[in-house]
Amino acid sequence: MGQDGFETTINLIKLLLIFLAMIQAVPVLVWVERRGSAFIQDRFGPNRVGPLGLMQLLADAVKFIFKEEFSPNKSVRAIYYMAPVAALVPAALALGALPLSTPIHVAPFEWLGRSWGPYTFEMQSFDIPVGIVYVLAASSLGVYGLLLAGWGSSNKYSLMGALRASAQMMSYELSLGLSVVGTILVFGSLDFHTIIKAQEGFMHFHLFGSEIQIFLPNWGIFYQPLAAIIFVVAVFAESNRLPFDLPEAEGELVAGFHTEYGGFKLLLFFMGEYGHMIVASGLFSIFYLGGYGLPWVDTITVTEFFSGIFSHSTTASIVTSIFYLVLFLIKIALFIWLFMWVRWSLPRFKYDRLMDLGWKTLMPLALFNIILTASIMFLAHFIHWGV
Amino acid sequence: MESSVLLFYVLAALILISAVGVISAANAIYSALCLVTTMFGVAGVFLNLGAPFIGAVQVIVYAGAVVVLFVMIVMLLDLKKKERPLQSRSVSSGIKVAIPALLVGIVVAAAQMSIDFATQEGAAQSGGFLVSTKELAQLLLSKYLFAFEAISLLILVVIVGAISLARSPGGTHVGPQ
Amino acid sequence: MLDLNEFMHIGIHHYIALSLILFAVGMMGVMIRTNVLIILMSIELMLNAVNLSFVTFSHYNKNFDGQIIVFFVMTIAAAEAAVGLALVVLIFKHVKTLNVRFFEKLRG
Repeated sequence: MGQDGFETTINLIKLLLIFLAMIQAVPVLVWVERRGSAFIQDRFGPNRVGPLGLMQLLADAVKFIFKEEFSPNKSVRAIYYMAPVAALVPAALALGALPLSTPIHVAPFEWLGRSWGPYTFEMQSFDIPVGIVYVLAASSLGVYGLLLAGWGSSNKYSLMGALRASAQMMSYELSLGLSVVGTILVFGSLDFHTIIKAQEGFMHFHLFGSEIQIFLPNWGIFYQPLAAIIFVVAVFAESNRLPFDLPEAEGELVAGFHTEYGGFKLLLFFMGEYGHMIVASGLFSIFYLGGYGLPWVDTITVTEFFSGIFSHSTTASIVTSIFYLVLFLIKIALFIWLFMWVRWSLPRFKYDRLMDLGWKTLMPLALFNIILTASIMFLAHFIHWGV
Repeated sequence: MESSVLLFYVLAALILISAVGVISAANAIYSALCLVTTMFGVAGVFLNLGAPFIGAVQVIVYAGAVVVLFVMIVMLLDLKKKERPLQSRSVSSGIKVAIPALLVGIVVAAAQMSIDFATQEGAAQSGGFLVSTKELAQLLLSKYLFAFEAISLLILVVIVGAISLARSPGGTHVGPQ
Repeated sequence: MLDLNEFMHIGIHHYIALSLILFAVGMMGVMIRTNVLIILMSIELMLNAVNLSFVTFSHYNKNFDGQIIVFFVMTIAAAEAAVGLALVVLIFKHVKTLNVRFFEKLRG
């Protein structure tokens, strides 16, 4: 946590800020969804309340907070109230381990008569050496929110929706993990920082002794295209978004596992779902789009560029971090737009076709990807082909 | 009281209270949820003992798959009635409680009285021992390669067995495929 | 005999004691409960206790083999849970109850 009070305080504030950022992103994403879906469907979205309908989210939030807290008569109270929390917590835990930007290096400074030493603040809630496995573990805990919601509501339709949702999530978790294994093979580490650092600069490899440099950035998506596609499909199924949202199918199961929820508890479910979307977009950016880095430029060049502008090293470091944070947020925003675009364009999968896709198509493809990647890397190492 | 000591006691309390909750809960769902918290506690102890990969795998496999399977089966079989577990005849259940308690007491005392082969060197450098996944993988695929392949075969057999046991006649797909 | 210093410094005995108590709780669960699902959960508790003691020994002997064995034990436990639950579902379809007392005698 830190050697002294200053570092511990800043780290705690940072933890809180990252969690709050995920919570505050939800109304913005809801607004983007409603206006974006309206744009796709050739109609107006909310445009009465405030400029461009932006105050609509504030009105929605106020409505959610002031709604009556009820629970159905037959429901199991403890589980009914625990389920929305169990839907929100895994997304928040997973978001904490993603690196959002370069670390901030604080030079020694004088304050209150004491000299505070040099610090390094990582731009993530906590830094875990086995980052990828931790994020997979946290996402796999998202099943509990659905199951407990379905059971706690004591409602046949909710239960059916919950069982379907959990079976779907577990099936696609497999393909998710397997597609990530191919990326781990290429980059050789489970740590996020190593993966981001390995995606800097131009794409270059040795080919029979001569070094070739292509104009493409050194991103994971060019090394592992099949894994990227499998990852995208699996992550859609993981966050129960269309075209895989049969569990919350409006019109078929009333509203699936969150039928009996209203008011603030429903908002917590949505926070969990959008949180999962944000984590999935962050993971895609880190694995396949180079994380927070600029496409062809290394981190060192940009750091030196900013150090040249600002004389004080702490300010330069903070500005670099903010610059990279903005880049990361742009990539996340692009991917979230992809989520919403697909939602309003594709029809829903039937349940048995959904399970077939997960088990009979995605999993063999992911395994094939692993074998292919491993064979190519082995050949490259064996005949000194070199990648 | 250092922080790692406090952490151990907190995790131990979590594990034991949840374990007692598993065996004495009225409803099967509450047992499953207590089992999840037990798994979390054990994963925390693994992290404390310098095995982060095994801790994360514990959460993925146990808390994220095995207990989910338990919860799904409980929901499928729709068990809502509560049973009172610890109310049967006093002599036989007294024996059933006494035997494990005796076991714990005897083995803990034996461990205390035996020669401290580990704590002499272990006390000097406790902490700072973090196994990297790379070393684990190298060991797994070189020394334990046969066991690795055998367990893959075991999983295959279990998959085929579980599917053939739980298969419904006529298949699960509707209509011509 | 019981001095406070023992509890302040965590050694191998503490982890072994924790693993033992967890194992004993699991054993108690198998012996006391009559619901077959809870018996299976208690078996998982016992397996976790064993995993805990393996990782403890691996840490205090600076040897990774304990963690590899934990890996295998986890896999086998998951496989056994899967098969056990499939059997439970089949039995339930037959006997319509989950009380072990009804089908612990091999008959019919």
